[in-house]
Amino acid sequence: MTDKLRVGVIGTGRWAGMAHIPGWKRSPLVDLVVVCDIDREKAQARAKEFDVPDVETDYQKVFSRSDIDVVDIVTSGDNHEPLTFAALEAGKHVLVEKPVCHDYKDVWRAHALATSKKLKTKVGLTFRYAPAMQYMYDLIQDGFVGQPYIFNGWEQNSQWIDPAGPSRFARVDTGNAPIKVGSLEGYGAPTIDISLWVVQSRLTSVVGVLKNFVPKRLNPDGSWVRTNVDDGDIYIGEYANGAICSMQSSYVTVGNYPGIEARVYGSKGALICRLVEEFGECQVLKSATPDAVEFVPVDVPASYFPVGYKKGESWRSLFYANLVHNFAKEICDGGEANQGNFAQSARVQEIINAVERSHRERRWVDLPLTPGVGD
Amino acid sequence: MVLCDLDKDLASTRAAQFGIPEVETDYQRLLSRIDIDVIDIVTRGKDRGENHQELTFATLEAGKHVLCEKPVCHDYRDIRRAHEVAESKTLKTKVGLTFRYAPAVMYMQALIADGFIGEPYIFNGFEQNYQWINPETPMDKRPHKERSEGTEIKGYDPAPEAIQVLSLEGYGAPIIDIGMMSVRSDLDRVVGTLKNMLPHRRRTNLDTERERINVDDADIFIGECANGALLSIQSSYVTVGNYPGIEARIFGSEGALSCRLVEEFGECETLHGAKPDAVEFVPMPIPPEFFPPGVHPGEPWPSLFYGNLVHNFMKELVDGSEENQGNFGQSAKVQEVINAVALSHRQRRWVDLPLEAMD
Repeated sequence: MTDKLRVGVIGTGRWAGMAHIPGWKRSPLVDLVVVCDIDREKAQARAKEFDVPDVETDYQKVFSRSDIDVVDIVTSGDNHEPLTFAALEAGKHVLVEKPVCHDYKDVWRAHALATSKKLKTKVGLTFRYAPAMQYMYDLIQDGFVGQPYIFNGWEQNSQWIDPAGPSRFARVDTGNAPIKVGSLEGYGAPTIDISLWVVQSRLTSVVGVLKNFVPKRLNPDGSWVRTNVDDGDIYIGEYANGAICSMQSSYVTVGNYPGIEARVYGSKGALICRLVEEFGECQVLKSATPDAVEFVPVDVPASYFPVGYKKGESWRSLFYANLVHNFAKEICDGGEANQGNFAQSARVQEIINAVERSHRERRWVDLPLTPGVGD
Repeated sequence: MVLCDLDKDLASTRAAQFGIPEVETDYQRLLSRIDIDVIDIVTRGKDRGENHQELTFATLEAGKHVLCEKPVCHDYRDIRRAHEVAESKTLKTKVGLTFRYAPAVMYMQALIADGFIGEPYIFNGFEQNYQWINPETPMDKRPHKERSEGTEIKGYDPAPEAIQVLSLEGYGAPIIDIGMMSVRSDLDRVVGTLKNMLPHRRRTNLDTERERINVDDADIFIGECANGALLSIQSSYVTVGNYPGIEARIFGSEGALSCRLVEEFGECETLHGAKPDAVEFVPMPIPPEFFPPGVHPGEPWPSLFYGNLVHNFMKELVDGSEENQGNFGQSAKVQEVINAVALSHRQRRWVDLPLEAMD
C-alpha cells in the first residue's frame, strides 16, 4: 500500500458535498484525486470547491485508473448495484451509499466478490459512526449493560410531512398497487444496523407493519397523485440471544434530523443515544444503572471525534468524517477489521426484506429468509 | 370517610395518620351502610388483585360508586359485565389508571383535543421499571413469616407460549389506556411478544432455591388503530430507569408531543412539543388548572397523580353529568387489548379486535 490512499468519488450531489467529500479531505490517510458526475459542470464546481485535481463524467474511466485505490459511490439514481459490481471487478475498495442492492442476496453476492478479491467494503451506514454511538458500542462491549434485554430504535424526520411540500421530482402515481417499501429502506437501514451491532446477535424472527399516512402528494406540475409508499413503519424483532427489539422509521413524523434514537436495556444498565439536532447539540448519550436509576449524560471521550472537530459541527460532516477515516484506517492497517461492510449491509437488507414480507403476509417471518444464504 | 382492612392495627394506624374517624375490618359492613356514597377498593390479595372482582361486584350490587385498582378482573368480559351492572344502576366507576391523571398527561390530552398534533400517525408508549432486575429479588417481594396456603402456583410451564402474563397487565395497562386515549381510536388488531428475561427466581423470601418461573417480565406489541394510526407499547419490570417509567409520544400531521413521567432530578413529569415549522422539541409548561387542589412544588408523583384522579372522580359524581373518564368501560377495553396481546403471543399471529368477532 502506498503512503496515502487515492480516492475517486462517483456522484457530486448534495450528500457528496455535505458529507463524503469533506470527509475524505479531512482524513490524513487520503488523497482525493478525482470526482465524477454525468453533469460535468456539477463535478467541476465540486472539484473547485474542494480542490480536487481531476474531473470525470464517465465512471468507467475512474474505475480503469490503476492509481485509484478506493471508489466512493454516492450517486442519486437507482444504480448503486451495477456501479458496485463494476468497481469490485476493477479491483477497487468500495464505499457505497445505501441501499447497495434492494435484494439482500445480491448484497451477499457483492460481499463474496469483494472477499474473493481481498477488497474492503463499506456502506453509508452513517449513524454507527457518530462519536456517541461508537462510544455506546464500546461501553456495551465493556459490559456496561450486561446481558441485553431490549433494544428500541427510531429513525424519524419530517421531510415529507407536508403533502403539498415541494418535490424535486415528479412522483409516479401508484394507483391501488400494494404499498411500496420507502421509509423502511431509506431511513430504517442505519438504525437496523445499530440494532444488530450493539445487541451483538442476529434476529430470528420479525413482525411488522408498513403504513402510508400521506396518501396523496402534489407534483411539480400541480397534479395530485396517489403515493402508496411506506412513510411510517414499526416492527418487533426477536434475537437469537433472547433479547427483543422494536424499530420505527418514518419521514412524516415531526422532529429534527437525523432523528435517530437507540436505547439498550440490559441486566446491568441502560444506555440511550439520541442523534437529533436540538439547540446546537447533535448527539446525546445517557446512562443509568440499577444503583443509579436516573439517566445522566455521559461524556464522549475526545478520541471518538474526527480530526479537526469543532464543537457545534454539523452531524452531516462530523459523522461521515468518522466513517471515511475509519474506512481509510481499515484499508491502511491491512487487518481483518471492516465494520459496516457489505456483509453487515446484507444482514440489514435481509431484515428489510423480511419485514416487507411480514407486512404483506401479515405474519411473523423467520430468519434467515433463505437457508444457506448469509452467515 | 371510613377505612377498612382485615388487619385492624393497620387500619387504625392509617386512620390515626390521616385523622379518619372510623375503622372497619369487614367490608360487608361498609357496603351495607346507607351513608356511604363511594367505595375505593385498594386491596391486595394473596395473588395480585385476586379479590378486586368479587369486591367490585358486591359494591355495585350495594349501589355504591366504585373506584378500583387494576386489574378489576383478569378477563375483559368480566369488566364489561361490571360496567353494565354499574350503568344499569346509574353508578359511576373509576379504575386506578393513575397516569392518565398526571398533570402533564391531562394537558397533553387537552392539546391533542385542541388539534395540536392534527391527525394522529404514530403513538409510542412505555411503562418500565427495574423492580425485579436483581435475580435475588423473590417473585413475591412481601416478607412472609410463614407459607400461605392455597395460593395458585403460576409459571411452571417453561414453554414460551405458556408464559404467564404479568408485566403486560401490571404495568402495561396504564400506558395502553393513555395510548388509546391519545390516538382517540380503538385498536383493530395487535401483534406482540411476551418474554421472560430472568427465568429463575425464588418464589418468596422463605424459599432458598431459585426455580424456573415463566412469567412475562418484558413485552412489546404493535397495534393498528381503527383511524389508521399505528401504536407500539412496551412494558417491563427488569429495565433500568426510575419510577414510574412512563413515556408517551405521539406524532401527527400537525405536530408531536412527548410526555415523560420519570422521577429524575426532582422532576416527575415533563412534556415537550414540536411542530413542522419548529422541529426541535421544546418544554411545554403545564398550566396550573391541571394540578390538583393543594399541590406543592416537588410533590411526589403518587400523591400528585392520585390527587387528580380522585378529585376528578369526585367532580364527575358531584356534577352529575355523563362524564366518567377512565371508567370500567375504558378498563374493559384496556383489558381486552391485554387479553388479545397474550393470545397473539401464544398463537404467534395478529389478533383482530374486538375479540368476540372470533368466538
